[in-house]
Amino acid sequence: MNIHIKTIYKKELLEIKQDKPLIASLLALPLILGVIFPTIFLSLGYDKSFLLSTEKISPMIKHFSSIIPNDINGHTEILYIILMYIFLPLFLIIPISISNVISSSSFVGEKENKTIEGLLNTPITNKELVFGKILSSVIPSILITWISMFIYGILIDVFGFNIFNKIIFPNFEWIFMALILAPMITILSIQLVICISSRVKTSKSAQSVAIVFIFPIVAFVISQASGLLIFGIWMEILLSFIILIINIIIFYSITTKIDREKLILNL
Amino acid sequence: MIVNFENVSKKIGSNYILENINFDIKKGHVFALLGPNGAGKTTTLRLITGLLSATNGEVKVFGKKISSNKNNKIRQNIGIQNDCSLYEKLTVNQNLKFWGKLYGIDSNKIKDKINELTNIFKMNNKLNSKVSTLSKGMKQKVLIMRAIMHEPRLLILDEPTSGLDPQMIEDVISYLDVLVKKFNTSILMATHQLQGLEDFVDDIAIINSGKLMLNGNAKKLINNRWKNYVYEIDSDHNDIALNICLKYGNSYIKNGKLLTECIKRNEISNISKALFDYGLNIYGIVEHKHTIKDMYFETIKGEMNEYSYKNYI
Repeated sequence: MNIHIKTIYKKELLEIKQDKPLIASLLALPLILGVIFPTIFLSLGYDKSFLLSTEKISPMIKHFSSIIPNDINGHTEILYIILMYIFLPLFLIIPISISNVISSSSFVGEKENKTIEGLLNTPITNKELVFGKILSSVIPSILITWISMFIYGILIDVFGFNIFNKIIFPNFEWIFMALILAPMITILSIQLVICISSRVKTSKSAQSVAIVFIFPIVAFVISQASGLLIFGIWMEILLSFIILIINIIIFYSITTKIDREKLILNL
Repeated sequence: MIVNFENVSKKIGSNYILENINFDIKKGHVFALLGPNGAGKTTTLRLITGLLSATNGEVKVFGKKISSNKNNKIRQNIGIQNDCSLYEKLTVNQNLKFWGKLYGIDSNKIKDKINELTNIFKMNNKLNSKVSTLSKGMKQKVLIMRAIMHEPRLLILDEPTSGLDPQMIEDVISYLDVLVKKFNTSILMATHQLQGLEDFVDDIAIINSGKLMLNGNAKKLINNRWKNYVYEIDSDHNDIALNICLKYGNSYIKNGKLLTECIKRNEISNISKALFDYGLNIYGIVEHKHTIKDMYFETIKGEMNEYSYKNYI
C-alpha cells in the first residue's frame, strides 16, 4: 500500500481509537442488531403459542416459499424468514451508519478543526487523500459489521438449533452480503459524504445529508416483508454490480474534480 | 531563484485580493512579507503552495510554474507553519510522526528528528501529551517543528513568534538562522513582529490592500530612504535645542524626541558644540538607526509607494 494512503489510514484509526464516546456510539447499533434483536426473536421461538400464531401470516411465507429450505417445518418458517431474510438488509445499516459517522468526522472534520489546509499543503495527491479516507472509514465499518454478524450467527446457530433442528446461519445470501454487497454500499455511502463535504461546514450537516442512504435500505426491508421484492442472491449480485459501477464513476469524478482552492475558500 | 512572482493578481469573487505583485525570493535568503491585516499576505502564501491559483501572472517555485492541483513534488520541498491546527486528539509525538511520514521520511529518521527538535524547542516532557492539553505557545512550537522536520528548501512561516515567550523567540530565531546558514534554507516570513527584524531578514516586501508598496533588500531600502545621519538629542530645553539644530539642517521633534539630520557624520560635533556654547545641558546624543519598523510605518502611512521608491534607488 502506498505510504501516503497508509499514513492517512493509520492516523484516522488512531484518532478514532482516542475518541471513546465515538466508539461507544458506533457500537450501539451492532449491539442492538447483532445481540438484542436475535435474542428477543430466538426467545420467542421457544414460545410454542407464538410460533403457532405466526402461521396466520401465511401470505408472507408464500413469497419466500421458493427459497426456504424444505427441512424448515411449518411453524418455524416465519421465524426463519425473519432471522435469515428480514434481518439481512437490516445489517446493511450497520456499515452505512458507522462509515457515515467516521467519514463525515474524518473529511468534514478536517475542515471543522482547520486541519485541512495543513494536509493539503503536504505532498499528498487527491487520489491518496480520498483513498486513505475511504479506507479508514470502510475497514472499521466492515470489521464491526462482520463481528456483529458473527455474534448474530453464533446466537442463531446455538440457541436456534433446538428450534430449527439444524445450523441455519450463514446461507449464501449472508456470505455474499458480508463480503461483497456491504463493502460496496459502504464505499458508496462514504463517497457521498466526500462529495458533499466541500459544500457543508460541519460534520453534523454531512451526516444528516448522508443519512438519506438509510432510506433505501428501510424500503428494502419493508418491500421484503410485504413480499414486493425478495432480497435474494440475484438481487444482491445485481445491486453489487450496479453499485460497483457507480463507485468507480464517483471515485474517478471525486479525485479528478477535487478543487483545493474551493475547499480552502469555503472554510 | 526559489520563488518568483511575476505580475501576479488574484481575484476572489468580484474582489482583487492581490494586484500585479512582483517579487523574488533568493536561495538562502530570509524574506519578510509585511502588511496590515487583510493586506493579502495569506493569499500570497497560498499562491506559493499552490492552494490558490493566480488569476493573472505567473508564480514559479523552484523554477517551476505552480498550478492549483498538481504540485506534490514542489510541496515536498516546502515547509509551512501557519494558523492551521494540529490534530488535537493525538499527542505531540503522533502529530509529528504523521507529518514526517507524509513527507516520506523513514521511521528512524523521524525518531531522530523528533528528538533533535524537542530538545531545541524544549518540548521533551510534552512529547506524549495530547495537543489539546497544550498552551497556545506550545502548539505554536509544535507547528514550527512540524514545518521544519523534513528539512525543506523553502520554509514558510506565518507569524512564527506569535504566542512564544521572549526566550523562545530568541531560540527560534537562532535555530532559523542555523537553517539558513548551514543548510541554505530560504525562509519566507509573514509577520507583524517588526522589532529587531533587520538582524535576521535579508529582503522585505510590504503589501497593503493587495498592492505591493515596497520590495527589495532591507538594508539598501533603509539606506536609500534615510541617506542622512539622524541623531537623537536629549537636552534640558529641547525647544531651544531644536532652534539651534535647525540652523545646521533638517531637525524636528518626533514622539517627544528631538531628531536632527546630518549629511556628514562629523556635523554632529559642530551641533553639540553650539548646544554647549549656548549653555544647554546635554544628557545624551545617540545616532538614531532606522529600522524595518520605520520603513514599514512610512510606507503604510502612504508617504511612499512603489513608484516613488524607485526615485530613491
